Amino acid sequence: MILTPDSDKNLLSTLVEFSYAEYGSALEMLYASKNVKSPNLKIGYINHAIDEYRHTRLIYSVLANQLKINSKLEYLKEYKFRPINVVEKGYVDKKGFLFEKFHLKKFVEFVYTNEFLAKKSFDKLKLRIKDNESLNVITSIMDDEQDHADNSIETLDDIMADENKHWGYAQNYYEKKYPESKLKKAFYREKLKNKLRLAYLKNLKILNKIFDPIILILILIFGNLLRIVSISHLKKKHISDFKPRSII
Amino acid sequence: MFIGISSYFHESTVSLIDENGNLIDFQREDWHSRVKGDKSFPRLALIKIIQEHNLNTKDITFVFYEKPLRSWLTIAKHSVQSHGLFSKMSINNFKNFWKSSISFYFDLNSVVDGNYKDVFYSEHHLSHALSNFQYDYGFDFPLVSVVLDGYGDNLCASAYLFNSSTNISEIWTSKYPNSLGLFYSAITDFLGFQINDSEFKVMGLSSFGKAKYVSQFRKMISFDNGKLKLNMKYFDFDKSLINSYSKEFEKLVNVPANISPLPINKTSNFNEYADIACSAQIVLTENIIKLFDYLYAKTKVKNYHLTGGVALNCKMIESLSNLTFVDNLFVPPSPGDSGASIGAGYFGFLNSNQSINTQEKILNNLFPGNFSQDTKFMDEIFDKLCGKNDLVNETTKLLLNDEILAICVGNIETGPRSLGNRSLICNAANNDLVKKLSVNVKGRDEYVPVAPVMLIETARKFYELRDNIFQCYYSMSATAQLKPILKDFKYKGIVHIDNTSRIQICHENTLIGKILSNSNKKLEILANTSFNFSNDPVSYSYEDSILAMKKMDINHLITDNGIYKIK
Repeated sequence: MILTPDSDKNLLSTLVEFSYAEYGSALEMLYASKNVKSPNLKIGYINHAIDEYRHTRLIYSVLANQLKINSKLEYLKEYKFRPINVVEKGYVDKKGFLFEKFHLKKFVEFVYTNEFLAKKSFDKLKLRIKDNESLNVITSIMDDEQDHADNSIETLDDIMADENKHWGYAQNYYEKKYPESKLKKAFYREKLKNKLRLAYLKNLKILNKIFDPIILILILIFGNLLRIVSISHLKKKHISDFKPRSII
Repeated sequence: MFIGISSYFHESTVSLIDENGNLIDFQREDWHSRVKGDKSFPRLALIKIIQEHNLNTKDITFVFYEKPLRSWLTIAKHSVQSHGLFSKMSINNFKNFWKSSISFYFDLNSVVDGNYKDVFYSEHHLSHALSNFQYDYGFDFPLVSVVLDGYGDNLCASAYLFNSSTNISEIWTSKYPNSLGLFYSAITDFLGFQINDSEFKVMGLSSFGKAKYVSQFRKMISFDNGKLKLNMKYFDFDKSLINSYSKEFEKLVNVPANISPLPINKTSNFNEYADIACSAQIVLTENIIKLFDYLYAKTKVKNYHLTGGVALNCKMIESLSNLTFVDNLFVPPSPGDSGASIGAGYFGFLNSNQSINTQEKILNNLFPGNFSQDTKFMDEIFDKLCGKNDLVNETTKLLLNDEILAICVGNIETGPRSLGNRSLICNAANNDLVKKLSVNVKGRDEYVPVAPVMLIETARKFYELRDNIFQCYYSMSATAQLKPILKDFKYKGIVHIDNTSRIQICHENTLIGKILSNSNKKLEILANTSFNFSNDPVSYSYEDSILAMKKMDINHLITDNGIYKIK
């Protein structure tokens, strides 16, 4: 759901980022499918997760195509798909999946806006891909993203219908039905969040310039201390010799 | 109650040990986060165990599997001393201080909010050694527990003499960076596979090669006079953030490292890479044999446990069974860091002045937990073919009709090998079907064979079984040689090029055991592989099962409640 296309970046690295973003979405949707109460939504989220997993693989096929077409491109170790990178790159927050953090309506709203943002990102990516095979793959992914956004609108309708049914708000149904203006607001909010994230990533180098000297000073102080620290290793004879409360 | 936690380096896990020393539950974080090899703090697994067993955390002693500060200090001190204060590795160690196990206490508190009885810290290698006590391995004290892994705390290998479960003497250690595990990982990296994940591919590949590079590898690693020594000229794992092997390594073997995106068997240097894998396997095994010789000379003990990630090398386990002084050797189903949370839990248990009585353990407890899931939503996706009463008969029929079946029954396996509760199975008599399961459905490399599962009498009929490692066959922890007289052995798909199989003997009271017994010998051997697709963790729930089935185009799901077919 969080995409960081950057025209300055090497195309292969950009594709790798796209694939992790899609993978992160797959994990979010799968988690939602396990925890949502409505059987219909459960099935919907499972299908959505299946699509996102497929996109991850498809983007990797585009990456392979680019390598085939352009022999000058070097295949680096970092391009290898490692599931754990989805956490390390921040596409999934291990402190809590979105479904844990948001209530259902906000979660669906988030999915809606991010699917549109994803489609826009793919629009930009498409301009950088020249071969037809890869273009077809990107177009099919974009069609899916559009479908997911459309499904989110339907889901919002269903949630509101359920809410009205369950809580007796029938008379307010049409007033409460999620209006276009609210979705637009959510859309702009998510867009702003993504822009801030991009700005943060772009400024990481500057941040590093600020923090690196601090790290180096810490290393200078504590690194020299490390040289004289002795990590003793005593021979033990009994389970109690292993000192259960010691962290060293 | 005692909760053991293993995290931050390999796949994170949580284990629950009760007041009687029984393993009640075991959960891997990646089963729930769905990030394969998830090494972050096991928040979801911990919440699952607390909620499922309705635990009051105030009654629980939490036990971490290693000494957090010792681990970080060991690596940081080594890089500062060996490569300088401002080397890439030193800077990286300081930058990642909070990402290491140092943050365990804070991460734990973010979940349980300070409500617990106590927090203990075991030692990394001791946690490995104690993890054996969950299982019925068929022999008693005294025993020597050998731990071989990459590194943990400040050790890369160790051996403990157990005279009882609490009378433990540390009799041998090898300190960082002298590690058999890191040696094998460097080979894994050199061959273009993923470290801490694909070491099994090196092992599979080794059977295709010749011992061409043995003399070169003997220059890299040796075991002499009780000392394991790595020649660090050939390794970069202690100084590079990218490569585990050095330029000197490449020069010595005179073959470039594999950096191709192609599968290794499609690369132009495949034969050389297979020779490297074969030679590395030989050198790894000969060093471990020397270590066992040394330990026997020192203790005269004939019963052994083996844990640590290196113990997953089932080909090496078969070689150890040839040692005449080894009466018994046991490898638990989860010998790596993920299983160390079990040992951490036992460390808490033993420190509460209790001891483990090996005669009263739960027998063959390969599947701890109490998995259950609502199946109501399944009707939207599946047609139900039968209920639980017809499960065995109908599954047998489907297998005889050459169907590939997905199984999601009961509790999930603790180790990386699927033993029939989260498995993909098919009739091993159909070699094309086995190949389809392995290569097309699972997307495995052709040089890594699928494992067979069978009843004990079938195993005795076809394979040369070793009595001293017999318990290992129940958890697929050792390979076995096909009997030489069996020239027309029809189950070719489950036999490796060197005429071995990573066999699993199943108990008759398991689902697969019942299916095999029920078939009137029409089904003798099933091909069995883990129920997951490529980069995903093993399927835990029905939702995961549906996803995996759709990705792999499998139609039938076997559950505790009956058989489901995708609509």
